[in-house]
Amino acid sequence: MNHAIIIHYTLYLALALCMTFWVARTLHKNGRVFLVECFHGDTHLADSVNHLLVVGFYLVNIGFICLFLRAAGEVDGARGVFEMLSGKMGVVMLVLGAMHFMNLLLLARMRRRARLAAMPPPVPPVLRVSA
Amino acid sequence: MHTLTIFYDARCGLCSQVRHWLLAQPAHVRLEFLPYDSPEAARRLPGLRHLRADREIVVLADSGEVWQGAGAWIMCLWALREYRSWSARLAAPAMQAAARRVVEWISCHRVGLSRLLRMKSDADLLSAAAQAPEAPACAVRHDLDLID
Repeated sequence: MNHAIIIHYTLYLALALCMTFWVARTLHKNGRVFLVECFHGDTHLADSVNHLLVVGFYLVNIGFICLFLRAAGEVDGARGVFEMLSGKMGVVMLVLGAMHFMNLLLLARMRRRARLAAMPPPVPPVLRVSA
Repeated sequence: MHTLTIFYDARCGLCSQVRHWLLAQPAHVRLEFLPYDSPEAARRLPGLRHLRADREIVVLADSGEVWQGAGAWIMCLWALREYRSWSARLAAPAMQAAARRVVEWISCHRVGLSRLLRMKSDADLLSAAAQAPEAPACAVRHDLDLID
């Protein structure tokens, strides 16, 4: 096995895992506010769901990164390493982006549903009687 | 607010069909239907006859608020899980005038529309059930009857 492929694999794993970690941290930190609102201020439940979402995110992304590790052709020299790495990282980032937007969509939908459930009557009554 | 009582026209086919549809939908609050001219309706909302409930639907919340016409229909949508967002859209100032016109037109022509669409009202179904001859009692012959 040549050194180029070892360098490629090491760089790919390091970069892809760092990127996953950064996106997951961003999601964890900024998604909490949405979840607290979705669960009507229940911070315990929001933290729990937030943690579970991040675990799912890690599992799916690290799984994809591992499956996508194998280099198809021969890697020769520094140019080969960079070209292969760039192609792989591009796909990994697109997948991370898609996962991130899917999570955002999910959070926005949950927030919308929670807001609708707590929505007061949209029209004023014509009269009030003693209940 | 936990319950909405809807005073509807039980002699109108369209209103009765809408009642069945509303009851089949998943809802945020309990929906209860009463014919507007029933004694129970007069007991629940003593001022009902002054509201002219025969012209437009009236909705009473258990917290004492009363809505009529377009507002009452919007409240029916508000009560449903899948249609609450529609109630907010129709309650917007730009949509309110159009919603009121459509509801008023349907209320005025509900009897004709029911006849056109061949919709049976709850009152029709009740009277048909009352007039139906009683089903004959089943004469089951026991095996032992055959042994003499």
